[in-house]
Amino acid sequence: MRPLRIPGLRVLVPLAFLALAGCSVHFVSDYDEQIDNGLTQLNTDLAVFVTRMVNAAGTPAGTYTYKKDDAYPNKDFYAVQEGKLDTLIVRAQVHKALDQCPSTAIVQHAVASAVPGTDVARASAQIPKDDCSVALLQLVKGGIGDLKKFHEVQGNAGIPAVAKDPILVGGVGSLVRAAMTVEVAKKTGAKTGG
Amino acid sequence: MALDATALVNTMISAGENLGADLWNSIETFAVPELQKIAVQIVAIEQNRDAFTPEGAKALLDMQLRATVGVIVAMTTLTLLAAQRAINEILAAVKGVVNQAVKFALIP
Repeated sequence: MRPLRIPGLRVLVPLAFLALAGCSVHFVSDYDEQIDNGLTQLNTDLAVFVTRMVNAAGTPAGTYTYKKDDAYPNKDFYAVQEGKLDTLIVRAQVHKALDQCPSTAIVQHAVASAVPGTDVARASAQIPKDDCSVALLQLVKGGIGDLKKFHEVQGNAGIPAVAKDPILVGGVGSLVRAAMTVEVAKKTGAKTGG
Repeated sequence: MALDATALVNTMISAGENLGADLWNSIETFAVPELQKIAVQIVAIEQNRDAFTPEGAKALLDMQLRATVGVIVAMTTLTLLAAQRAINEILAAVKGVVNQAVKFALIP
């Protein structure tokens, strides 16, 4: 049988499929102003809280269990922030573009190469099986959980000054900046910094 | 007008050229500095170990590990975003060339 020869057909057929498919792809959830604003507010609240705790380190007011007027203001900070993050996670889930973030393999490879012998499975398990934006917000919530645990197990010492940078420059501060960078990139069309 | 495959490919390549620049920009301005900051903090935790309880030092180190994972997830998201933008720009470029060639809105 002679092959059908129509000029441009090999190009036109796939393009027709793309046209029928709506002619655009969507790998990342859309920009959400409330997530952007929520993360900006979290960044401020976190910096203020950690600075206040560092200033009060070694005194009862700097401890996780500090009680004032029948309330636990330091403990409550974590509950409030985790609640707000839960709301942002729900918003991100509503917009989600994928069911899984393809970072798991990258993390396994990176951790195994950088720190041989590290519990790679534990590092990989930190990436929730969900859209990248959802996974990132869940990691931020996990970072707040790490800070809560740190504050709690420090007991009467509270949060010493030498912990400020590991918390705000690295640690949970880095997680919040990462999530903010992604939201800003969504808004501005994938451009970051520079 | 006949559809010129070479011109079509050139249009697609030209539209996709921004992908590499966007990715490199993200790595250079976001991922590398953030990973460097985390590495410096891991060293600082070790150097100031006496200021923390053993459980406190472990919680701080866990936080750095989680932050590293977060930077990689953010980098993946930025990569997907750049790829999404490049592919959609390619499709938009193809749309113009094809619709002009066939003289009707084949691709809406």
